[in-house]
Amino acid sequence: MEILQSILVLVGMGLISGILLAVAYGKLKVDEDPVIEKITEVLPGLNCGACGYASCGEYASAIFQKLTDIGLCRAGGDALNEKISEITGLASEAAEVFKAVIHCGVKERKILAEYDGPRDCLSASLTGAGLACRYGCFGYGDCVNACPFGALKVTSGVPELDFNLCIGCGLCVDACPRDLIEIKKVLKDKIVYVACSNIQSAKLTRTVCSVGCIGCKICEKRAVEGAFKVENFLARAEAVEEEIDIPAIKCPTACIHEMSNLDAGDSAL
Amino acid sequence: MSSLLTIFISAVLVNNFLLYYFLGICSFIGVSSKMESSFGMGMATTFVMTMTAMITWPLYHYLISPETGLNLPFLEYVIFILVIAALVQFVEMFLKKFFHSLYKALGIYLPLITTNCAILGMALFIVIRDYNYLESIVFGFGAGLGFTMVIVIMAGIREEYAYSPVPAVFRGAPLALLTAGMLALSFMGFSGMIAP
Repeated sequence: MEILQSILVLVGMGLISGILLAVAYGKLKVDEDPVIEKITEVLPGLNCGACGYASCGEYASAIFQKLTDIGLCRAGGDALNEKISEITGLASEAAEVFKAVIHCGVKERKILAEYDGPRDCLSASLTGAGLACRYGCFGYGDCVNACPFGALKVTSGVPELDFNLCIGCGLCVDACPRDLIEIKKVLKDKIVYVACSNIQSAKLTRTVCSVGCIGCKICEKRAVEGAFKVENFLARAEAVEEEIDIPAIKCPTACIHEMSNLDAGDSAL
Repeated sequence: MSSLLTIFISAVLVNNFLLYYFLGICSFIGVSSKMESSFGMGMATTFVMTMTAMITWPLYHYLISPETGLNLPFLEYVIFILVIAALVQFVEMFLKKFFHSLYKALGIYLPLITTNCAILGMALFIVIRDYNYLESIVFGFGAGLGFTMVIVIMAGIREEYAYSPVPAVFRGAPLALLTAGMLALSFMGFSGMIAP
């Protein structure tokens, strides 16, 4: 008897609340366009934030309301743009490709003192972790942990970037306490950059590192006009359309690096 | 009348659900980072609590109570959760329609009101303490108001933290828990207000 009663009570309760909710839903229904859902489905769903929206869902509704262009998703690239333009009928432009570069090229670190602290860059940056170079990479891999795509790998030197996996979302930029990482636009399938952030004079840079930029300005003179700019004893590669022939520059410390799609990795030339 | 006032003040201040019983801590920590959304959360919880008290009291007394009902006390939890879940569904629909930004700000914590132990706890307290209908409504409403007050105080404090140089290890949840502990200590000051 009890079992029957309890089943009846529960079924009745469920029915009543179900009916009441159904009535309430009829009154309070919110119409959402199925297009938003479709766009959200084709987006990667990584919520990396590179497009400038907090989540893939928000980006999808921004596209739907025509608040933004459709080429902002760096993870999806051209293939994704085509899918979105199929759904929305908006014109797709060729996506600009961005990648992270690490402005440090250290292979063997010069050390002033042993560091016993926590093995992460943020803690290391509080004391300098005994590194001779005040601008260089610690190598504990905070950027590696920040990367949702697994594009970075800890090595004995600077973390290695997988050119194909990196989408240039910029999460590693925030993670690096020494601000070594920059997001650069890929031109002609490659990025040229100077792997150093030391702004000390040539003599001081030389004493702490053998591959640091000493600000000799050779790259400014030998490469195409405007390809490099030296400021504070530190060269920076600018975005230029012309081909840059790195071996021809003969950088005395070989700190001009190039990353490209072909060799999928960081190569010092 | 005086007993109603006692129940109300007890639920709001003295035996506050968050800081005395430590019920409903999930949303307390989760939604207390912004004043606006925490107030919305408090209001939603207050509504659900009051309605739960209003609905579960007759259900308990006329349906499942051993004395006046069908003697099915083992259904207590199931039925209470069912009522709470239905109410939360309703609140969710309502917010989605009329306060869409609040609906988005609350996110997962809104459906989680269903499993917020403060609400089930309140419904069970009503049974244990044998409140009458009016008392239980006042108790539910007071419990909700107490929840709102504390979560808004907490959000106010946590908003101030945004401008403070908090050491990295304390940022986020650790500092929130420390703050909750200290708030609970200060709320102990009310404990002598009502004689047992």
